[in-house]
Parts: sequence; structure tokens; C-alpha cells
Amino acid sequence: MDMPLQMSAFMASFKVTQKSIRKAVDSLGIQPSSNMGFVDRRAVRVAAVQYEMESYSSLRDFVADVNDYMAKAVKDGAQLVVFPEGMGFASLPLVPMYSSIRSRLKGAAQEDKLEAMEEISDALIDYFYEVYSTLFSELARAHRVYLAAGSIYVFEDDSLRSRAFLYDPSGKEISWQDKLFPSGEELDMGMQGGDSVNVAKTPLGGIAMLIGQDDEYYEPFKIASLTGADLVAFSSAYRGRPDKFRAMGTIAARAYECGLYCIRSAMVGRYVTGEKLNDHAGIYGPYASARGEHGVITEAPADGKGHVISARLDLQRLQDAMDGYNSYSNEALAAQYGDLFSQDPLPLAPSEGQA
Amino acid sequence: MKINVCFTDPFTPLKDACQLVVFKNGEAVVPEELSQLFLSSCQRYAQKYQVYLATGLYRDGGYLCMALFAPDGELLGVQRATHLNLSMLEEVSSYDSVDIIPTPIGKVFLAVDVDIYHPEVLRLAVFQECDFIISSQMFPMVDFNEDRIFFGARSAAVANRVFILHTTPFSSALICPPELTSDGSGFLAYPSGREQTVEFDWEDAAILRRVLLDNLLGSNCLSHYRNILEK
Repeated sequence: MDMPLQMSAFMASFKVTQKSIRKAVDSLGIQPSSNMGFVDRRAVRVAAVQYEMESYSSLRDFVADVNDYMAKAVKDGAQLVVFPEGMGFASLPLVPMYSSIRSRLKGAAQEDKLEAMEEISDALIDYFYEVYSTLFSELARAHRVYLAAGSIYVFEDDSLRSRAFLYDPSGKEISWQDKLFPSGEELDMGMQGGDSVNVAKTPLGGIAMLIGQDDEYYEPFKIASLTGADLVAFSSAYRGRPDKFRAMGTIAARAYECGLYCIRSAMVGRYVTGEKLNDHAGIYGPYASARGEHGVITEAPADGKGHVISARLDLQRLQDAMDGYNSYSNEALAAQYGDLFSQDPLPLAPSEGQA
Repeated sequence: MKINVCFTDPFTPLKDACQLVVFKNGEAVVPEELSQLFLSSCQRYAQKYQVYLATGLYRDGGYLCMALFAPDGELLGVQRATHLNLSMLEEVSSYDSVDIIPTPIGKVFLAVDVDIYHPEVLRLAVFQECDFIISSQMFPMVDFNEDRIFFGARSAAVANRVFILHTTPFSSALICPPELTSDGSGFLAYPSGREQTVEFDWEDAAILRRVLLDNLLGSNCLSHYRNILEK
């Protein structure tokens, strides 16, 4: 492993600890909200965070900034707050010798960037997890709301995974979800996709979490819907070219096809690898829940700045508001599609390097 | 393979040279009692103009159908609707098979009416290696709006990386994966009420679709999907 990175990881473990994070959260004097005091499926209040990556100079600044998003969402009445993909990396600027890590990533060729990211993940994975889990657990507990904290890289069974965690209002981790369709870069880093969709049954309704490119595939959303999800807390950090039509072809379409509310958080600013993130947060529902607006309930401005958006969702409408054009179900045909994946060999067997 | 497709109202004389004609629907689905007359007229049209012809929607044998004719008038295939608009439940039955029609201009799937809104139908088609999809939808004017195209044909083209030739009584459009259009919209021909002739090459989407299928088949979550459906 790279010597400065090893040194950074060692020093970071002293500089940022569970104790120091808790102290930083306590110093904010957060008053518990009463947002969970009244829960009604007809009026579930959710918030999506459009998080702007910053170069924090201290743990206190970092904690205060993340809390600003939380506080705004909670003030709007949110009972569930959703943070974006890659939140685990948000604490990278706090690492000692961050400037040397940043200069290594900045302007590096794509292959070198991947190698550097792999080394950073490897060296700092325990640090990232400790900061992420402590901070978000504390914030959920302090504000007394559900918090889908976005994703972080973890190692499990010797394989890298991108995983999102859900915390309940007591700060307890109640669910997790691995990214099902890692990006090409993540596959090159050896990341394994998840093998199931987990749905947390909560007083707010069934909550599933999905991540990144998962919204290009309808299957995870269908699984979520069939296993009791009402809400999908979706964490994104889209790094492709600006695309004003993207949400309509991905997350809004999934909400329509699968009869779900999708709360899409987004990362903006500069990603840890230096790329500009062209994304925006949004909250989407089935056609009948947001008629005439492409299924868009609300969206944050695509201005590259941090925002919090919120909406009140009527989960009962998922059952009641039938759209005559897509409500018919042909189970025999759906089963035929499922059966494709029990064939041996698989149809159109994957080309080399896949599966 | 490059194909010139013309979207036109039924039985309109062709102005531009093309290999494939897709009829828009009229104000209503062709009823059962007129279906044989409709099909024989379609056959003569294909022969007269020497084109492949995708018909609009008609009822036949208690199903909602769509057919494809060859330039010599041969009936190449018929697809029955596998999903129904809830307003049609008492009039027609649903069908349980997705059948790809092999032709010299490519393997074609006919997406009948609301089948375009059901992802598993389109997935079954692309897993049977269809090269492009012809989608014909019926709407009363009161229900027709751009969302219906965005959530149907456009979403299907994005999600399956496939060309979709789409018609309604009021519009026709040629839709493809957004990467293949300069404005990123995915519309090679925007929805228009006028007759339009457009050239496309379905092979342009083939590599994108291969990546999609590889990703799907390489995913660990699909066995979960199968297990859920089995339950």
C-alpha cells in the first residue's frame, strides 16, 4: 500500500473517532423533532438531499454541514431523509495529508484514478465506515427520524461492495442494501453487485434502498414492489453528461412501472475523483399520483448547489390510484421472464468477463 | 441494416420510397367483423407498394392483435396483446406469449397497445434477440399526452437499448437509446401527427443492448427476481 495513505489512515484513526463525532453532534444542540409523533400512510413526509461535496477543514465543519441538510429536512416535517450515493467518501477531506491524495486524483488518467480510488478505499475503509455509521446514527437519533444515509464502500467476504444503510429514529441500523448493478469503474475495482433487495417494514411503510445505476433496470424496483416496498430511498451520484431527460427515462419510469414512490437524492459539486457531478434530486411517483408532470412530484434545481426538497406522499394512492393503461397483470408472462434466469445455460450467455 | 420507415394513416398512397410502412391507428380498433377485410386490404397494400407493412390494431378471435406483412403479401406474423387496458377487459382476452417475427429486414417484435408499458414483455422480446420493436397504441383523445409516450415507448427504448417505431391515432415517432441522438432526447423522429419517413439502422443499438443484457445476466439479483415471481 502507498506509504502516505497508510500514514493518513493511521493518523485519521486518532484524529476522528466515534467520541469526537458524538461530541461534535452534541455541540450542535439538536432538539429532537416530533415528526414521528403522528404517522399516517396518507401523509408520509419525505426529503431528498442534494448534497454538495465540500472541502471541509475540520470535523466540526463537516458534521455541521451534514446536519444543516438534516435540519432543513426535519424542519420541513420529514420523517424519512435520504442522502446520496458516495456519502461515505464525504469525510475524505478530513483525512490528514488530504491535499496529497487530492492532487494524486486530480488530473490523473482514468486508469490511475481507478487505481488510486482502490488504494484509498482499501486504506481508509474502516475510517470511512466509522465516520459514516457514527455520524448518521447520531443524526437519526438526535432528530428522531428515519435516515437513509446513502452509500459507502465496505468489504465483505473479501469483496468490495457499495452499501447503503437505513437508521431508525433511535439511531439503530435497521436495514442495508448493496448496489445491485455496479458501474463499469466499480466492476474494474472488483466490486460485487448485491444479490437481493431488502425491504424494511417501518411505521412509515415498506422502505427499500437502491443505488446509482440500479435505476436503469426495472427488475430491482419490481422486486421491491413485490416484497412490500412503498418507498424507494434512492441514492445517486450521476457522473455522466448533463441530461435533462434522464430522470424521465430512469427513476420516474421505474416509479410508474412498479407503482412506487421514489425519493432520489443526489451528489453535486466535484466528486472525490475530481469529476463534476451533473445531477439533481427529485421525488417521483406513479403517473396517477403526479398526473401531467412526468411523475415528478418535486425536483431540486440542477444548479450544482446543495438543496433539500421534501414532499408529502399518500401511500394509499399506490393501491387506489389505478392507471388503466398499466395496471393489468399477466402473471404467466411475468413468470416466463423470471424463468429465463433458471435456464442452464442462461439465454444469450454473457460475454467473457461477465458473470 | 438501414431501413426507411414511413408512418402514415391507413391505406394512404405512399409518397416516399421506403421498405417498411407502419399504419397509425384510426379512431377505434378495427372490430372483429371487419378484421378479415382489414387484413386483406393490408395484404393488397403491401403488395401494391412492395413494402413490409405493420398494421394498426384489430380484433380477431377474441384477442387484440397486430400483424406484419411482407412485400409479396405474405402474412409474416401476428402478435396478440399480452396485457390489456382495463377498459377492454370484458371485450378481449390476453395472450401468454411473446413471439418474435424473423424477416429479411430484422427480427421484429410487435408491441400491441399497452404491452409497451410492461417491462417484462419488452425484456422477453430483447432476450429473444429482437432487432427492433413496432409499437401501436390506441388512445381516446382525452387520455393522450406526452407522458404516455415518455413512460411507454421512450422508457422502453431507454431501458432495453432498442429502436422503437411508435404510433398512436394522433402521432408517430422513431425512438432509440438517447446516446444515439445528438440532443440526448432519444427521439430520432419526434412525435408528429403528420406522415413522416425516417431512416434508421437498428444495428446502431446492438452493442448498447449487448452490454445491457450482459449486465443483467451477470447480476446476482435476478435469481431473487425469479424466486419472488415463483412465490
